[in-house]
Amino acid sequence: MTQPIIKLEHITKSYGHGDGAVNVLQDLNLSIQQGEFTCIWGASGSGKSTLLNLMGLLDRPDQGRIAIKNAEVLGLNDNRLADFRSRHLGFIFQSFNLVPVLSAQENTMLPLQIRGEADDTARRRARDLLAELGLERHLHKRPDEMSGGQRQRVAIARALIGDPDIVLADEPTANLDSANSDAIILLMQKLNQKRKVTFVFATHDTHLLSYAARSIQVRDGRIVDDRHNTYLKEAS
Amino acid sequence: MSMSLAMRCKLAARNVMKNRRRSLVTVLSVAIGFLALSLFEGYFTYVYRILKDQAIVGERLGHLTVVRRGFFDQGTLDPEKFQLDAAALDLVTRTVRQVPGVKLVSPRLAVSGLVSNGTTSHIFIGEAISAEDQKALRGTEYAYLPGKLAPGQDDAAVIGQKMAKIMGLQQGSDGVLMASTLSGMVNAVDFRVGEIANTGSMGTDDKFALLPLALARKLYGSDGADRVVVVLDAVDSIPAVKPVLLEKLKAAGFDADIKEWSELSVYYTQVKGLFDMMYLFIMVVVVMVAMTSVVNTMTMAIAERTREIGTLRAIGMRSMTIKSLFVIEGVIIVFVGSLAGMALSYAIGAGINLAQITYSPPDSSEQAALVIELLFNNMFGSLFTLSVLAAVASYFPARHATQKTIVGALGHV
Repeated sequence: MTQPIIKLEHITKSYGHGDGAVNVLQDLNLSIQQGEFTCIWGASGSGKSTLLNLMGLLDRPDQGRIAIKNAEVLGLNDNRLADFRSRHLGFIFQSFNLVPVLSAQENTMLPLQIRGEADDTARRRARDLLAELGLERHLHKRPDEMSGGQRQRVAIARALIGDPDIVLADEPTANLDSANSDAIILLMQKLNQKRKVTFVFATHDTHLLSYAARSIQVRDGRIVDDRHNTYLKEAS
Repeated sequence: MSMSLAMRCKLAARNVMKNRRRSLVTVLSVAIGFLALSLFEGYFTYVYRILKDQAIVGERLGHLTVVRRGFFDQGTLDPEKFQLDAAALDLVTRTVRQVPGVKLVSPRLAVSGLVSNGTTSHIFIGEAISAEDQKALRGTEYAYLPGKLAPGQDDAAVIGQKMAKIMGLQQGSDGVLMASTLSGMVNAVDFRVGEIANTGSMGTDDKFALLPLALARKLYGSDGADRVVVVLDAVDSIPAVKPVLLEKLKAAGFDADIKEWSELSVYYTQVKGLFDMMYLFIMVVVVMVAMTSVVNTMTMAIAERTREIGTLRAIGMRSMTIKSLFVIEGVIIVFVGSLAGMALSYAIGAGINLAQITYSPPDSSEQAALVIELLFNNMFGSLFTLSVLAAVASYFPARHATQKTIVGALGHV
């Protein structure tokens, strides 16, 4: 069996101190393989977002070990972690989190510019990627000039432009209507199949489970179910 | 691995423009602060220049004064001891003239005693200089000034306007000057009022007398001088020339003491000290107001964009780069405000100069012009200083914002 691209061992995470401390994740173990299209689901407060934050190196566990691409990442300092995220991870957020003063193309270029890549290269790649996602006519629009579905497509383009190994999406459809939700999940699935990028998304919407090749249920900070979907709804 | 400076500036500029009204208020507060600083500085610059010229030319201090060592402390008690006799004066004059950068070497005698119109007498205090040296010291720039000694008229003195009034003297009137010679004998010489001139100071106008050097020598029974005033090609060369002069005079066997004009002009030093203190006070107040405004603007901007900060950090931007974005924003606001302040300063400064406003300075018997003399270098210095302070003022709120966890920043509402 190949090495997992994400490996979490004995992860414990709590928030608060003393008597007010809340244990969010408790001795959690999880491995995600390269190229998987995985859904982490559960009720609000179950710990799925915290789990995603830990996988995305946005937060540190109280205890346990995290390896991404076989690299132990918890020993890295903040700057090294930022560089690691920039090289290997892409993020899609519930509220899109686009920079309001930048156009769709400029938002998409941002991860490459953070890496210090040339503007021309970043601009060309952003334009091509947005065209691939059907946004070629919206390149120069700012976020407030676009619909929710269009914004989330820009966010997906921003997550993918740096050719990450893993894309992490926290409730990517929560702010979208059902038609747009399905469209976004199908787009993520298509990109997962085409680019062989590992996708992990968190949701509380059970309707989306049928799109995921693997679904992991989290309840009270523990994984209570982990299964592979044999009847996968696929993008046409 | 870092975003280019051009991209950071673009992002910062877009954010400044996004909050146009708030940015404009801050830009205006900086512009008004800059205007206040520049106008005060422009006024002080003019006053300093006038006072400096007044000391160097008007008070005839030149750039450097050469005396026998000890003269400045004990010269009044024992003038004969520190007098430069003809031989010493010749040695000093020849030596000083050989030093590059020296334009004029002018022997002087301090004078004081009684002036009489035949019926009453009054004290006089002043100085003796040759008419040729006075003309050379004034040059063409200040040739128009009143109080000129006439070349070739060794008995014609200049006296203060108030003294002339007290004594009932007019131009062409004859009088007698009385003083103790160097050896202590009482002596008197006849003189003629060559010109009556206002000294500009109420404290000196009633006792001022400027004598031709030959007349003063006759009065004091001297063939030399008590000091030699040196004028250089440029006032800026004082620090370079002064040690050379000391060295050359020492090598020539003359134990000299040399003072600069600014050390001898007590009035200049006191006024400059007072104005410098006022400027410092105004600067501190203006900078505090401007920087408080910048900190307030940046704190609000950072609070509004906490989630954006979290997003940028999540996608790989280092904390230092994020701080730099806010620092650049603060600097842009202050830079634009300073440029606006600079433009306003030129416009209002020109308006004040055109209005030809005058006022009465303390202890002055004449009106003085209110002139704003704006120097680009000074204003550029203010712009640079304010920009650096803006960077510091923006850094701390930005630092505070990046100390928040990424998860905390992303969850900020």
